[in-house]
Amino acid sequence: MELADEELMQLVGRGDPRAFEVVYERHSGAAFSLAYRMTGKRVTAEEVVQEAFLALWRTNARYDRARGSVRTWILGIVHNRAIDALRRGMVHDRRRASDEGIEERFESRDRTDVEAARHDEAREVRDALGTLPAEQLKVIELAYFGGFTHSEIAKMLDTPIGTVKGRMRLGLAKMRDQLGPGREAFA
Amino acid sequence: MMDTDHDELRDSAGPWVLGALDDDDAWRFAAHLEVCASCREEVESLRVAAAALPLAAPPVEPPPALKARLMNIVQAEAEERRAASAGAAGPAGAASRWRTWFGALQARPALAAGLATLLIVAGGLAGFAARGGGGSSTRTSAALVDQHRAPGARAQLVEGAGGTQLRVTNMPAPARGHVYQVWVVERPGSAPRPDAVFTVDRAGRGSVGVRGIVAGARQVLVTQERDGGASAPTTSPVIMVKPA
Repeated sequence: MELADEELMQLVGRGDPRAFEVVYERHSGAAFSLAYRMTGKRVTAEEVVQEAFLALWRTNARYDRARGSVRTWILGIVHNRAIDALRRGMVHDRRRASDEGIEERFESRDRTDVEAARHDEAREVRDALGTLPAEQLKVIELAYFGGFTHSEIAKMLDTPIGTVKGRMRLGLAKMRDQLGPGREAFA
Repeated sequence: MMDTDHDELRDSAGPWVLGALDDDDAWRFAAHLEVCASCREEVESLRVAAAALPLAAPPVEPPPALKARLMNIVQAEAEERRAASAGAAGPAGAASRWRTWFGALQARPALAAGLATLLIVAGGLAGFAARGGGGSSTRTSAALVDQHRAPGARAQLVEGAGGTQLRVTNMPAPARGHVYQVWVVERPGSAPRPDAVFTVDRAGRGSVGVRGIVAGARQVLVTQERDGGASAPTTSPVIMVKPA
């Protein structure tokens, strides 16, 4: 019988490498995709994902169910680590990996049901993002995937700070509406 | 005035859930959230969208070598943990390594003297000033900070109903490729248990939840370790706290 993520995390907390391996198998794809999207470099993305999963293992997996799903939690760690990497200047020549620009794709493995579901969700989220006005999409992407603060973005785009904040809020609200009810599952 | 403040602050909900507010604005918005139910609702509703964002990253498979590397480390550390818990009476294991490390520290007069100076400096600033919390359920313990490596830095350990947090201010960023790691020393001479890792923001502020049981622990330490943390301290502590 397949264990739920939450049950696996308890085993990871007790130092069970097999449970860790299953958690890695389930979430490393999304984790690596996020790290690569943010850093634009495969080597850095590997470092970020390795750091994130080792932190999960070595700190006995401080997972709090109240804060959302295991996936959201892991991706949060990866996101923070990637921002740390960007701000430490590990990525000097940052290039943005875009849907069209990725040249370093790895051969896809046979898709499991979990992976297929993830790909469907990814498409749904990208569709929702695609409905945003370009200026809202830009500030959200720069903030989330670029790790820039709102004032850095304001300078970069030569736009008032208040406008940048407003675009972020309105864009997220529209995206939430596009995703529709029941999307709490993402969190 | 309140309405103007509110209208202005409401837009911070977007960058707040994206983690993109500058430090000053983040503190200001955090304070506003304490008193504004409407903005708390807004934050919760936007969080759903923000939580979906990582899924928009185009799918890229991690290389198999990454898993192999990770599993090698994990298997080795699991084995080490098993050996340490099975052979508590033996000389091997993290506890003895810690004693060795501490012994080495004591055997190095310059370093030990430096540490003593630091304790006095930090003691002048804060000491082990444990506050009872004045009727609240929160206990705060001030920390000793190595003022040579972290000049002007302060740290405190806050124990409350929701858990224990280590908070730092004015801490220098860890060296490139490194993080700060928390350790809990439960008893005198026992091996420090690895706990959370953290970094600090550009203003030197940081906070991290401490997972281990702090109440009754001998000490909580912070060392600088390589990214991903370590299973035993490899450097001398930059922060020491004796929990209240």
